[in-house]
Parts: sequence; C-alpha cells; structure tokens
Amino acid sequence: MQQNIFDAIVIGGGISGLWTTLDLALRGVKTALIEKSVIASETSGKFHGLLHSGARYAVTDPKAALDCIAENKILAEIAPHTVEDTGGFFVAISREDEEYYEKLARALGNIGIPYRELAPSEAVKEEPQLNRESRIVIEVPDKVVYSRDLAVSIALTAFNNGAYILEGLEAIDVKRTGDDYLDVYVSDKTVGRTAVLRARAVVNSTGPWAGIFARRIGIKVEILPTAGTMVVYSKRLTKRVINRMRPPSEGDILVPYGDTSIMGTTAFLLEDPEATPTPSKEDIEFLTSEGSVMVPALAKTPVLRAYSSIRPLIKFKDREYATRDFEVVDHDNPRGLFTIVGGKFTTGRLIGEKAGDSVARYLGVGKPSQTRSIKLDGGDPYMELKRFRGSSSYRSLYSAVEHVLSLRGRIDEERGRSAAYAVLGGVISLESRKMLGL
Amino acid sequence: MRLEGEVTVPVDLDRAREVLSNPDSMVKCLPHLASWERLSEREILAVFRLDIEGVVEYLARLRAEARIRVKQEDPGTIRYVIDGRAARAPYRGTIVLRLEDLGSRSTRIRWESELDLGRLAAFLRAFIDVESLINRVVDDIVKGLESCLKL
Ligand SMILES: Cc1cc2nc3c(=O)[nH]c(=O)nc-3n(C[C@H](O)[C@H](O)[C@H](O)COP(=O)(O)OP(=O)(O)OC[C@H]3O[C@@H](n4cnc5c(N)ncnc54)[C@H](O)[C@@H]3O)c2cc1C
Repeated sequence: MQQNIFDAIVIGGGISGLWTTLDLALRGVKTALIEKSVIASETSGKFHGLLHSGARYAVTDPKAALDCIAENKILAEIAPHTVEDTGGFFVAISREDEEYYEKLARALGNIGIPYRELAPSEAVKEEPQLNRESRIVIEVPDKVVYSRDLAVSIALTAFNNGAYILEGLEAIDVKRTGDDYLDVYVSDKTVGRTAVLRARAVVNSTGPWAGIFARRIGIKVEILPTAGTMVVYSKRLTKRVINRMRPPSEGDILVPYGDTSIMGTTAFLLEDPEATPTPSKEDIEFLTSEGSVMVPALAKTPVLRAYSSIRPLIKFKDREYATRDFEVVDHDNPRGLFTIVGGKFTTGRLIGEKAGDSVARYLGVGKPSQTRSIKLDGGDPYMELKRFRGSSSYRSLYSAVEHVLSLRGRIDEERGRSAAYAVLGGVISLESRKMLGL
Repeated sequence: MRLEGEVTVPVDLDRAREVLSNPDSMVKCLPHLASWERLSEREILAVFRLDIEGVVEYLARLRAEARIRVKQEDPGTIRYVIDGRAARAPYRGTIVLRLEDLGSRSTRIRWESELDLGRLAAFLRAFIDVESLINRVVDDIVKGLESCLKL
C-alpha cells in the first residue's frame, strides 16, 4: 500500500470534525477526515435539530447565546438548503413561566437577539395547536437544521476542495515519528485490517469519545458525558419551534422536523461513559406530558420512536471566565495533536474555524478561515450524485446510486432527498478511498 | 453531607406534628415541587425541579425524583427517609425533625439532615460547589416547611 501523508488528519466525522476538515481544506491544507462509522452517525445525527437563535441560553450563558445567534445567521446564508427558517416561539403557560419573561426579554435585548412579542390570541392564530391558555408569547429566530443534509454538504464541499473523507476507519493509536510527523494507526472496518496514515497535525474530534480516545493514546482530556432523550411523533404539529418560557429545563423544546415533531430533551448521567444511552419509558411519558402542556395535541399524537445521545460536555469549573462552551486543546505531548471538546451543532462552524486557526498556526499556514462566507455545495443532491456517474466508485455503487437517482422527477423526489444525501456521502467516501488506494 | 439547624414556628406542637408527620400535608410544603403521588400510607413519590443554575447552560433545572418515607419515631421526633433519582443517578438522605413545645402557641424545630448525592455529586462538582448546592436545597426545604406552618 502506498504511504499516505497529509498535512492534517481529523479524527471523527461529527459536525465539529466536518467543519474542521472543510476549514483546513479551504486554507489549502491537505486534510483527511477519518470516521469509524459514517459521517454524522453519532451525536450529530441524534440531536434535536434546533439551529439555536441563542434565546434558550440568553439568561444562563450569554456568551454561548451570542455565538448561537451569529452562527444561526451564517448557516442560513451559506447552507440555505439544509436550514428551514421556521422561527420559534417562547410560551409562558404558568405563572412561574410568566415571571421568567422579564429576565428573558432583558437578556435578549442585551445580547441583540431579535424578538417580537405577540398577543396570545394572535400566536394561537399563527400556531393553532398552541395551548390556548398561553399567557405570554414571544417570537425568536430559531430555525431547524437537517442533520444529514448539512453533514454531507460540508463533506462534499471539503472533498471538492481537496479533502479526503474516509469512512469505516477507526483511529486506534497516534504516535510521533521523528520530529515532523504523527502516525495514526487505523483499523479498517471494511477489510478488517490495520493501516497507518501519516500527518503533521492530528485533530481529535471524537465528540463524546474525546476523553476515551485521549486515554487510549496516553493523554488526559477531561470530558463529562451526559445523555439526553428525544421523542419523535408521527405528525408535524407546528410550523415553528416551540419553547417553554422558563429557565432551561428538561422537556421544554418541541421541534418540527420534516413531517414529524420531536420533543426533548431529558438529561441523564451514564454509569459507564462508554455505554450507549437508551431512552426509557419514563423519558417518553415525561416528554409527552411536558410537551402537551405547550401543544395539547401532542398527547394524542402517536409516538413513532425515541432516541438518546451523548453531549460531549467540557469540564469548566469557572464558566464565567471561560470564553466559550467549547475548547480546542493544543497538546504539548505529542506536539501537533489537538483535541476539540464541547460545543453544539449550531456552533460547529465556529468550532471548525477555531480548530482550523490552531492547526494552521502550527503548520505555518497564513491563509485565514473561509467558512464564514463560502456557499456550501450540495444544494441539489441528485445533481451532485449524477456528477459521479463517470467516477471510479460508480460501478461499485451502481444500484444504490441509480435507485436514488430514479426518484428524481417521480412522486418521491422530495421524500428521497435524504436518501440522496446518504448515498452521496457514501460515494464521496469511496472516491476518497480509491484516490488514496485504501 | 451533614447539616443541622433550628427554627421556631408560631403554632402549637400538635399542629406542627400534624402537618409534618402527614405525608400529604408535608409534601405540599416542599419547594420546587412539580408533582407527587402517594405510594402507601407513609410513603410518597415526589418530583422536584432542582435549581442547578451555573452547571450547564442548557439545564438550569434538573428533575429530581424522591421517594419519601415519613416515620414518627416518638411523639416529638419525625424522620423523613429519602431515596431518590436525578439524571438517572441515585441519591439518598434523611431529615430528622425534633419538635419541642415552647408554650404560647410556639414550637421549636431542631433539624438534622444528611444528604448523599452519590454519582450526581461527582458530576456536579466539576462545575459548581456541591456543598453550597446542598446547603441551599436543605435551606429551601426548611424554609418551605416553616412557611407552611406559619400559614
Ligand atoms: C440530546 C441532545 C440534543 C441536542 N440538541 C441540539 C440541538 O438541537 N442543537 C444544537 O445545536 N446542538 C444540540 N446538541 C449538541 C450537538 O448535537 C453536539 O454538540 C454535536 O453534535 C457534537 O458534535 P461532535 O462532532 O463533537 O460529536 P459527534 O457528532 O458525536 O461526532 C464524533 C464522531 O467521532 C467518531 N469517532 C469516535 N471515536 C472515533 C475513532 N476512534 N476513530 C474514528 N472516529 C471516531 C464517532 O463515530 C462520531 O461520528 C444536542 C446534544 C444532545 C446530546
């Protein structure tokens, strides 16, 4: 096998790793992303779907809220095909909720998150399923972001700018070789073999596994995994995201996601940080009961399923002095290794920019980040797939690609977009592997 | 963690005992109560919203479930035995109230509490001072019971 040498290897194909890869590729850094499964298959494919306006954190963490509102606007500009501008309501139902209003409104004003107060009767006209007893309603620029659509669009843009997106490769070790390089040992799930990829810089972007991976390679990164559950209902009940007007609590956000409604979340600790979290019956009952206080019809809407995932929380004792809710750790040993901890799906681009800054500085690359203003590729996933018809991976994926392409112009074209993105992700990965002889 | 203190309430001992030893009346005095149900004559299951502001921005209130067994140990002593779960992690505790009649419709309540947040404490400790959180929770409980008796 040929020796594959890169400027940078990013480990982990969640939202943070994807944005970091794109950020580096756009700076002209030869970058490979390696993902043990497929991109956006863990937390970034199992979150709540909310592109935060920041309103939810305005009172408890104004810095995070400020990042959210900025990123909310940027993403809607650069990847409009992955974002639905639903808007969001905050609704006060109880007297206690009502008492929170002043605090929230003041915080929104201070941060500069635009909001508008509506008479409850007007709000019910706009959202007929809203609890008619709502006492105060304000509208904020919450949006919905479609996970796989965005993940694949970032991967595609990175690939089109020279990055390699390699799925099915699990990083098992990182070792320094001489002064210049780090060797990343990977287990190739597709053939059950180990391979070595070499790079000058390596980014550990394994999300909730960042601490586990760090331990595996003999370094310490403190991460506190907490899990949460979301429940999916069979109908889209609202046009907007509906938030309960109260301090951030469990069960206070209902997100309209495609044709469904998703209610979340809960918070729970994992006894074993490596365990896969699972929803409990109590979670489902609790979320349904809390959700139906905001939108009574939820109680009668069939539950399709529930899912849980893990938040990669960063261990910050002094949050007040922390500049962000994520951090890019620049390790002394081995030099050239960086770890991303914390963050949100909404702020993924910013995380990628900051990780890109650190890696570029280390590599001596002067070009600044471009992701703030680059329009992402992938607006039409069918068209993008078509482009691969002549590629070397086309023969291997013939049936999958043609099945999806056959949806175009047919009754299922719109419903098939997610499938098109999924197959496109697979094609990019296979193409990348072929280019590297992997 | 062990805490203790005392309060004096403007009701006679019988009235204080009646309210504090009856699970149904006692539970309604507890702060941040979201819901409750009776499990048996002396036992209730209550759900609270614990104020944990400052831990993580997406969660300022954490749901805490508590099974509270009320024991009247002797005419002047009431013990609450608490077995709970928050964030799926178990915690336990006891609160002992010793009532003393001060005459002229006044009762002194000396209280002792012991609360062990277990795994939850280990998690919260990364972000906040758990001891002051427990202090605040116990203080809130005592204030809740006190103001209930004043009504
Ligand atoms: C319940 C819940 C709801 C949420 N809702 C929202 C929301 O509505 N809006 C919002 O903005 N944020 C939300 N978040 C936060 C957001 O989802 C996460 O912060 C974000 O998705 C984390 O992305 P990540 O890339 O860090 O991690 P991940 O998406 O988990 O990616 C890490 C990747 O690393 C891979 N990996 C791990 N180990 C290895 C290895 N050794 N080799 C190769 N690959 C490896 C994994 O397979 C995985 O794909 C929510 C989080 C939770 C838990």
